Amino acid sequence: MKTLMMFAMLMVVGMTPVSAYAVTKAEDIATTIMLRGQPCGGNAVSGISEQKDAAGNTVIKATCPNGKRYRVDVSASGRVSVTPIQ
Amino acid sequence: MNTLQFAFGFATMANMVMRLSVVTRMVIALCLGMVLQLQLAAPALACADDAVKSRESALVVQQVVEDAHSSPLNGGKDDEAKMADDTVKPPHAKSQTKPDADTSRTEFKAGSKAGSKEIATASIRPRFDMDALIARLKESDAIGMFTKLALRSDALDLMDLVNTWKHKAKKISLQEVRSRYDGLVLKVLALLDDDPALSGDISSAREEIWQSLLEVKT
Repeated sequence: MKTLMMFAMLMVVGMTPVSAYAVTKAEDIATTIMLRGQPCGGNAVSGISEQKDAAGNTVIKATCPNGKRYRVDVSASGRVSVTPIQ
Repeated sequence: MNTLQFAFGFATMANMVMRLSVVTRMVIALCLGMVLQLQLAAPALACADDAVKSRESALVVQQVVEDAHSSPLNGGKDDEAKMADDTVKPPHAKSQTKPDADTSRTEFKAGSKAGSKEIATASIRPRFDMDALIARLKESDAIGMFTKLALRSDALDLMDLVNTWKHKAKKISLQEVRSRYDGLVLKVLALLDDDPALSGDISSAREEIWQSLLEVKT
């Protein structure tokens, strides 16, 4: 009986709808970098660091698969800019 | 009968599963659940595709109906008046046919244009709802948050460019503005690869969005 219950519960877990196109943060940042015309060499970044200042501006640093590191600035008003870090 | 068959099949399957090891049972259960989820999701995806296709076919049908309405019938009254005038003139068999054909063709064109204008104003077109498209774009899971913010920045830059063109602050041609707009739309459509319904709607509303962009008061 216990085994059957576990079997049924696992079936329900398997049926849990997972969004077919949920975008991860790493993919999101990589796409943002590429949208700004910067080469990234892949779909997802690594080594993500995020900092917010008192004014509400966010600074994200990440490394693309091609080894280049970028800084993504998101202002409090929602403006996005990407600059390569040398 | 179907319920009985389902119950019998389930009992048989349960009996077989009971004889397997715990790990195997877990794997089978997860696989069955995922298969069921895909089976349930397939009709939903098919419905979305069908919705897009039906909308496109509706637009095509409407265009065909509009073309059918702009038919020779609209120019009929003018043709009759012309015929009446022609009967007063001295009859010349050969010359009558050509002028009649030419005048009837020009009258047909004028009548069809007038008719098509009337039909265009009276026709029921799918209403373009910018607010709904924006809401759907904001809620779409196909694009991440930072990407949406980047697209928003691009859209604001495009708005500034349109304002610059309107006020003629710099020498910018409408063609340049349009090419920037086309580039932004292509970016959005490429990013919405996983949301084909929204991508199709934005693509079909491309010209309306462009017109609304030019009409925005500054």
